[in-house]
Amino acid sequence: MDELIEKLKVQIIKQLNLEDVEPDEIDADEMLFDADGELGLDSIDALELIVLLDKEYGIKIKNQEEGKQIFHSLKTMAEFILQHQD
Amino acid sequence: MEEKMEFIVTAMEKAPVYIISDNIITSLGFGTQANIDKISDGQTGVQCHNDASIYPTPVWVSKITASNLSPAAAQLSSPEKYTKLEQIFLLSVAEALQQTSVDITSKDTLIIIASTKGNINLLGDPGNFSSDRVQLGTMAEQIQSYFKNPNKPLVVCNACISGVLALDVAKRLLRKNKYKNIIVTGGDLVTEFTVSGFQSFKAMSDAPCKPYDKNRSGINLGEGAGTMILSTEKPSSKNNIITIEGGASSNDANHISGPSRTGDGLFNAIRKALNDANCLSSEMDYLSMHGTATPYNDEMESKALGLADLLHVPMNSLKGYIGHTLGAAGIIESIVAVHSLKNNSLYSSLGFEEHGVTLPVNIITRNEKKQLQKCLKTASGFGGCNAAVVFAKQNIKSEQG
Amino acid sequence: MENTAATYRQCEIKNGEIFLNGKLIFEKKEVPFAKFIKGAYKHFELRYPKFHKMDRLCKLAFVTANLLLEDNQLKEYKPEEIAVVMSNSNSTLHTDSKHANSIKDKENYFPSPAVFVYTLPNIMVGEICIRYKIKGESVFFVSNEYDKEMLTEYSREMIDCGDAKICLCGWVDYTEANYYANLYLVK
Repeated sequence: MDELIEKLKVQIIKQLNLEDVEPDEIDADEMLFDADGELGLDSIDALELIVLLDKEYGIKIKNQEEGKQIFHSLKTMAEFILQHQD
Repeated sequence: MEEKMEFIVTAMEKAPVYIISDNIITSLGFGTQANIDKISDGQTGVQCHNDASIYPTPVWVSKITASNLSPAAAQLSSPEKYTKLEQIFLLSVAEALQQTSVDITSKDTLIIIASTKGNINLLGDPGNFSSDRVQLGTMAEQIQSYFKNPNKPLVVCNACISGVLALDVAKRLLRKNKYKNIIVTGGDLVTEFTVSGFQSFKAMSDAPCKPYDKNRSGINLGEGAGTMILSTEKPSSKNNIITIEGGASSNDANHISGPSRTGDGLFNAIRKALNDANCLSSEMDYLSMHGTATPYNDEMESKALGLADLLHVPMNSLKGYIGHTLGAAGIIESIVAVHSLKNNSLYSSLGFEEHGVTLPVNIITRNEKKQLQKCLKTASGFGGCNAAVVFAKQNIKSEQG
Repeated sequence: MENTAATYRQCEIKNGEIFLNGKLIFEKKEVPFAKFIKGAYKHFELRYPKFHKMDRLCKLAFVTANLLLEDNQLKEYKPEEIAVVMSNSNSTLHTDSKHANSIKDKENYFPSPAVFVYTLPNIMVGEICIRYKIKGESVFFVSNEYDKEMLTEYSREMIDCGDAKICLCGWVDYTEANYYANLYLVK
């Protein structure tokens, strides 16, 4: 799980072009889409995370609503991947 | 009092802009009447296409088939020299032109083209065409030189508001007497480029789209062209003369893809367009909305109509009939709105069943004959842009439809 | 290019050089565009995290607009009074190709929304409007040549008829082979 979270941090920084963010700066429990959050992610980033799950983990998500719960934090994302990976 | 005076002065300065001719080409048919007949019948051109050249899995789109286009394109001189989109543009402009005495070869006539992606299907694989045909400017020159028009065409490329905005640009130039006639034509294709992009946005519906409905799940893309010929010269007919009374654009300054949550951007465009037309919202008889059927867009529109005090006015979206034709949408839908005014006809908003936006907008659920004088057409798009235009019928007493 | 009464302030970017009102203010030649534009972003301390998410065309427009509008050039105006009239010739060709490449291979088919959104040239206008809270009229024209006279005249007409009080106007074009930006103010 921890290993997956570390891997996700690097993948997210790359996929979302988070130029000035270091992996250590993202907390596994922190809300990814907090309006006042440091990452400043928006709706396009949420869609990019859907692409990331498809591309890197072969998991398809139908709509943004479904994504909302999955992308709550890095931890929920990692849990979701572990549950749904073949 | 002073304010009132100023109001009158500006009103007098604005030269009228007459709509003297139009044409629509979509999957529903070639020609405005063919399209309006189908819309009036409640028919849709949106179908499920299982075609790997559009998308790997089946998608619901409105496409013009080769078997419909080829015989029509045969009327053009050397049709093989033109791409599919160029052929559609040429046919649309030629047919609209035929109904008028406008001299397209005159210095007084300008062509304005609205398109979001033009010949994007040629990108990387131009086939028999030169690779620069993918440039909107080069595509525009093809249309200009086909008709031997002496002026460099203007191309408006402004996402989903391109068509409505092109009409507003034309209005501005005609009021300034820069030209006597302006041919405004908008067109776009359904391509894998746009389908895959909207799919990545999770914005495509996997069924016929349902604008403003509780169960709406996104757009259907469509293709086609619409042409409106505008003039500073009053048409000879006494009745049913339609003018562009006003128009405006605005930006949300909020997000590059997500519509504003409050609808204030679209409201600003509507407010300015009504102002430009010297109209009150209470004078509007009909609203031709953008209504893409994405959850956020339709919700935003309802908020804007609330702010503009237009919730009670009958409104529809035509996306259920012809899909979202991108750069063509604003012109095609404006033409249908103009004919609604002429025919005193309101057309049902296809796909709508159960109210699905926060505010109580007045969605047209069945065709209706009603005396109509003025209407508003709106559009909103990526980049936070919004546009609105006001059309009006000039005769006070028209014969009963 | 020289300033005229109509275009009283302008910023120009070409060949690794940035000019404000005709004066060279930044130079980073012999490096690829991505490095040059990031260098300018850092040098002028523009500090806008979303900059890194923009495509190259928007980055070019963003830096040009930021330098043009520095010292609060728009402070006297309400958001609705500011218009934007922009143009280019290649629309979004560079990003179009990027999006097209992502759907070339059916076995590796991952179109990206963050790329696709930049396949419309008026997104440049949107990015500038967001940064400077500009809510007025805007239009994006595409033409093979930079017709500065037409753009200036169009802006002037918008101001004359009361639809705007100031207009951000000009040209921003980017391809792998060449780039050019020239934005100016009309009021």
